[in-house]
Amino acid sequence: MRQTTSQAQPTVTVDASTAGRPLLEVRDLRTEYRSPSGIVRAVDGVSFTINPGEVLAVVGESGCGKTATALSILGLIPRHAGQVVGGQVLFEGEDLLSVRAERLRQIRGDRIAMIFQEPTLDPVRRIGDQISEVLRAHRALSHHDAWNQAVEFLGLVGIPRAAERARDYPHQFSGGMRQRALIAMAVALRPDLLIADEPTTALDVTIQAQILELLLEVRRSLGMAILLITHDLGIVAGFAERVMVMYGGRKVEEAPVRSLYRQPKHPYTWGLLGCTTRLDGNRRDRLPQITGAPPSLISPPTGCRFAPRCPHAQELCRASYPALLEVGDRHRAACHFAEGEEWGSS
Amino acid sequence: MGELLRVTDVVKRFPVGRGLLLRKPTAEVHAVDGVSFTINSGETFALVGESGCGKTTTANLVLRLLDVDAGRIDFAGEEITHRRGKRLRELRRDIQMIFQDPVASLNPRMTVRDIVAEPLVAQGRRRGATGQVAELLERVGLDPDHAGRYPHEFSGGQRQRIGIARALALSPKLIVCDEPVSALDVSMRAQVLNLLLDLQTDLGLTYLFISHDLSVVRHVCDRVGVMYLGKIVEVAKREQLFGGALHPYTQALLSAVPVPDPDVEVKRRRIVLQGEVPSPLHPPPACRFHTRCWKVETICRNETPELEVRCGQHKASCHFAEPRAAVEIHA
Repeated sequence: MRQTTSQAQPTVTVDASTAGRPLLEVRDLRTEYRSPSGIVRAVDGVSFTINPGEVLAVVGESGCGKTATALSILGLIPRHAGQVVGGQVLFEGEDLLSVRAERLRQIRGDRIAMIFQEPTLDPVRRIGDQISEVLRAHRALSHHDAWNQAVEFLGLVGIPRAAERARDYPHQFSGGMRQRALIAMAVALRPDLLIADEPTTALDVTIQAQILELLLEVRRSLGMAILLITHDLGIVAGFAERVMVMYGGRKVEEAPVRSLYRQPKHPYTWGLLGCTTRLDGNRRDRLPQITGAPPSLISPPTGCRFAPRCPHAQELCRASYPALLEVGDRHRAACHFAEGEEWGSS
Repeated sequence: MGELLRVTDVVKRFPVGRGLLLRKPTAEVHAVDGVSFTINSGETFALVGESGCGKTTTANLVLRLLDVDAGRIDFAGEEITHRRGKRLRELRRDIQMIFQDPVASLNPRMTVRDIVAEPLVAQGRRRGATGQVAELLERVGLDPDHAGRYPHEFSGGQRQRIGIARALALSPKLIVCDEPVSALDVSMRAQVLNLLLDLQTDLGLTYLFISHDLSVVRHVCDRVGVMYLGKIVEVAKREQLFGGALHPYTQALLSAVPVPDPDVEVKRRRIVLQGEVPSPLHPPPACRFHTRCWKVETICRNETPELEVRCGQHKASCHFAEPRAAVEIHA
């Protein structure tokens, strides 16, 4: 048992050669899925950057395109389901959307790793073997050396008696330990970017706290950037440096974490923060709520996607999609009325 | 506001067999191990805890979907522990349930009308059901004209509303809500929680609310019971629990809930529990939390702490109970 304090995120020093250049730059990404009722525009012109060592959170509800964005970056959209139809994904300047499959495989796992919501491990192979396999796929390592490194990383992610437990099968691990093992597998190659898609959603709250702390610890020791995908504004507050809010396949707001929570500029962000249940502050019996449901991405509304649910919507909002405007220091929002509005007062 | 439900020392164990031919049970899971609580008419009582703590099993015992191994359950002044047949079916009118998964809990091949009318049909009240269904749908905020549609045509939040309409069909007194908003998106969650609160005000409902999320519980509940490994370790009124939880497990649970405020998160004093919940097959002796507790002393390993009244109606089972605020901030 330890009592700890969440620390402010340390800024990772960037070496001079890459200074100024983002690690990942996504430009106007468009991804479509096929469905029986038509084409789903899951990601509809999303652009963002992640700097080396930075923690960026992508927040939104089901169907907002946050997972589709992550899968598109890694070229993991299943071919039968859909495809990336436009944009660029520049990783250190190299467009992952146009590189050959073999090159993409080299980058995936080695430079960019991903962990998913459900601990996805092969049930019939030893944990240690599964991690070794990843190491051997990318590095010229003997079986023995790969196994030793696997054990080392299992220790790093807090698996007790790692040498022994590496011989276990996934069913012998609890849910929290399986997620730890996956983190070990993801970071074993010391990637520059870790994409974590709802890494704690399937876990109990005390285990969630452990896993989030572990991710930040691993980041501190290995210096990688993290792209956290989540629906939970609670975990973002103590985890990320910058936040991007998605709605209806588009980015609607982006800001350093503190500005986003202190001065949300988009009515959707404001609504989301308002209806989140919380442990502190004044308890209200009725929560403020966002009426209606997210838009269908098959034939999304013209104009602002949020207009049908927005309490402040005007004619202009239904007519034209608002551009992302600079509304503060590194703070951008896609709302016709973002500047100078205090949504909280209305 | 009289007492509606009284649960006294209920025990439920599940045998675990070994091998393919379930021979002799080799062990028992102590799912619920001597749980007692009461719920007053018109109030919301929450049972909170992590996976495997026995909260859903307790709910199923109250619903009489499972039979207790020991203990008794009283509802509206009558013992219902061993009711069978016709008498049990009558009880179903008074105690209904809302499930966690709005997809799995609705038959995809039935129309919304048939789903909501099913409790009426099952109780032999087929006549006038259609009119009642329309009323119920309106009550939960759905368009009665959509009664002919199938569940897949609705969003998650709307499907949960269908499940609520079904639970209301027989005008129950008590509704057991098992994680009713866990599967929903944030914006849908607020809508459904508000609906539950409105229905309670309008219809005088009593809720047994099962949840793992203390921030949700804080918004909807009057009293809270915290469960760990089949036992209630703390019971308190909402203000007491969130103002100063006494049991170390409750404190750790509260501490693990993130607060959507970066300034608070930076300054927050956090308890991060080490390890995981022990197997309910072999729960630790004496205080079940002692293997993960930071206050542990010899007495915790040898003597089971009683669930004792500490002040007012605030009970906790800990040898070293001390209050701690839900969100503790560094000075």
